[in-house]
Amino acid sequence: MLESDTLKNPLPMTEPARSSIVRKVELAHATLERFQKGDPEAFAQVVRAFGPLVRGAVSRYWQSAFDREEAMQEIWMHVWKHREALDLARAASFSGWLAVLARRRCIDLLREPRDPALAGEATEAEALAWLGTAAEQESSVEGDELGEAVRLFKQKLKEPWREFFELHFERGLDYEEVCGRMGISRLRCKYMRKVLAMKARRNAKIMAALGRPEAKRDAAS
Amino acid sequence: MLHPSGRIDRYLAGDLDPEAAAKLRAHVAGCVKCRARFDEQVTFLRALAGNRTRPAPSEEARMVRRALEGAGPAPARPKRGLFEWLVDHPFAAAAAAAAVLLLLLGGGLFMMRGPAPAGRLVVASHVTLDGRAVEAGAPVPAGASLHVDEKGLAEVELARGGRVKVYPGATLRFDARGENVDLGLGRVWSSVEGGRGGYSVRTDRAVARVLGTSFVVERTVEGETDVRVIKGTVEVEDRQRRGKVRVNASQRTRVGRSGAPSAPRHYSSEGDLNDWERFFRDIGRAFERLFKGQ
Repeated sequence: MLESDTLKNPLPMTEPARSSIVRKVELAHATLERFQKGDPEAFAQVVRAFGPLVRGAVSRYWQSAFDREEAMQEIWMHVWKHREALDLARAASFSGWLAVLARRRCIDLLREPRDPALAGEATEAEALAWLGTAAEQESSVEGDELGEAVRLFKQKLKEPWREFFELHFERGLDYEEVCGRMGISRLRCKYMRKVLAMKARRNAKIMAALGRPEAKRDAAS
Repeated sequence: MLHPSGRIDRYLAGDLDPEAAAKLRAHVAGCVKCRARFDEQVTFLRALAGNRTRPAPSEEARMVRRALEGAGPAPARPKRGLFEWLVDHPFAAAAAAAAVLLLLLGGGLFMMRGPAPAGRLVVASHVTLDGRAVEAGAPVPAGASLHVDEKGLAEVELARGGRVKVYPGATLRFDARGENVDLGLGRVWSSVEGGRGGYSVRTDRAVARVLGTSFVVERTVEGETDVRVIKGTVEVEDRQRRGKVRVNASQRTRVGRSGAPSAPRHYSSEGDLNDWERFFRDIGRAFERLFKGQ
C-alpha cells in the first residue's frame, strides 16, 4: 500500500491535504513491482492512479490543454524508461519519487530553468508540497452555474440520448464501451456525439457559464 | 495543410488510429489556430462532464491509452467499415463519388461515340461505308461494311499500324483498331507492322494470321480463299479447323470449299502488284476522261 500523504513533511506550510492532486493514493506493492519489471498493465494502473499528480505538475508550467497533454505524455514516457531507478524498498514514497521526476522533466521540457528554485533539485517532500497548491481553480460560483446548466440540459434529453450523454460525456466511456452497453453501432455513437455536442453548443446557459455570450440561442433543448 | 478541426474532434473522441493521431498532434503543435481549437474543445468537453477545470474522464482514458501506446503494444482498435470511413471522410467520399461519376459519364460518352475507329481511308474511289459513299480521309468505323465498286479502289490505314489495300469488287469489315478483317468477297493486300499485336484476315473458309508483314487474301466468287504472301510469314487455317499451314514469303495456299489449306507452293507477287498498279492507272484515266469531258 502506498500512502503519499503520510510522508513526513518538514514544511508545515505545504500540507499536502490542501489539494486533491496529492490525495491519498493506494497502489499495491506488487503492482509497483510489476511496473518496474515492465508490465504494461501495471503501468496503466500507475498512470490511472497518479495521473492527477502528473497533471498537477504540468498545470504549473503550461496553460494550453494540448501542451499539458504533450508534457504529460513526455513525463510518462520518462517514468517508463526510468522505472528501474524506482527503489521498491521505498515504495511508500512512490508519489514523492514521481513528483520529483515530473517536476524535473517539466523543467527539462521548458529548458528555461531561470529560477534556481525551479531547477529541479527539490526533495520529494518539497516537490509534493509544491504540487499541494492548486495551479488553477474554478470558483465555486462558476462551477455551480455550469453544473446547473449541464444538469438542466441533460434533464431535457430523452432516452437514449441521456444515457449516451452520461456514458460518453460524463463517464468518458469510448465508443466501443458505449456500443456494448447501449447495444448500438459505432456509427450511431458518432452521430449521437455529434448531435449532442451541437445541441450543447447551442445551449445559451451552458455557453454563458463557459463565458461565451456569443453562443447561439438555445434551439435544441 | 488544412486545419483539421474534424480530426481534432475525432481525436478527442478516441476515434483516430495512432498514426493519424500522431500526425494530428504534430500539426496542432505547430498551428496556433488548431491549438486554440483543441483547447476550446477540451474545455467544452470538460464542461459537459461537469467541471471545466477538471479533466474529463475521456481525457484520463486518453492519457492511459497514449502512455500504453508509448510503452509498448497498444490495445488493438476495432477495424472501421467502409461506410464508417466514408462518413468520417466526407470530402474524400465526395471526391471519390465525383471520380466515379466522371468515369461513368466518360464511359457513357465513349459508348455514345461508338467504338474506336478501325482506321482511315487514305485512298478511296467508288467506296461506300454501310452504303454511304465516302472519300479519302474518312474514318472507317469498326464493324462498318466497306465496299469497293468494280471500278473503284481503296487503301485503309489501320489504327493498329499498317495498311490494307482493297481491290475492286471487295467487301469487308474491320474490327476495333483494325486488328481483324472479315473479308466477304474480293481481294485485300495487307502490309502490317509486326510486334504491334495480332492481325488476321478471315473469310468464310479460312483465317490468315499475320506472323510477318505483307500478304494478299482473296476470296473468290467460287468460294475459294487464296492467301499469297509477299513478305514475312502467315499462318492459314480453315474455319472448320481441319488443318493449318505456315506460308512463307513468295508462297501461296488455297482453302477450298471442303478441306484444309493446301500445301504452300511458289508464288510471284508480280501479278498482285501489277494488278494494283493497273487499277490505279485505270482510275487515273477515268478521272482524266471525266475532266476532259467537262
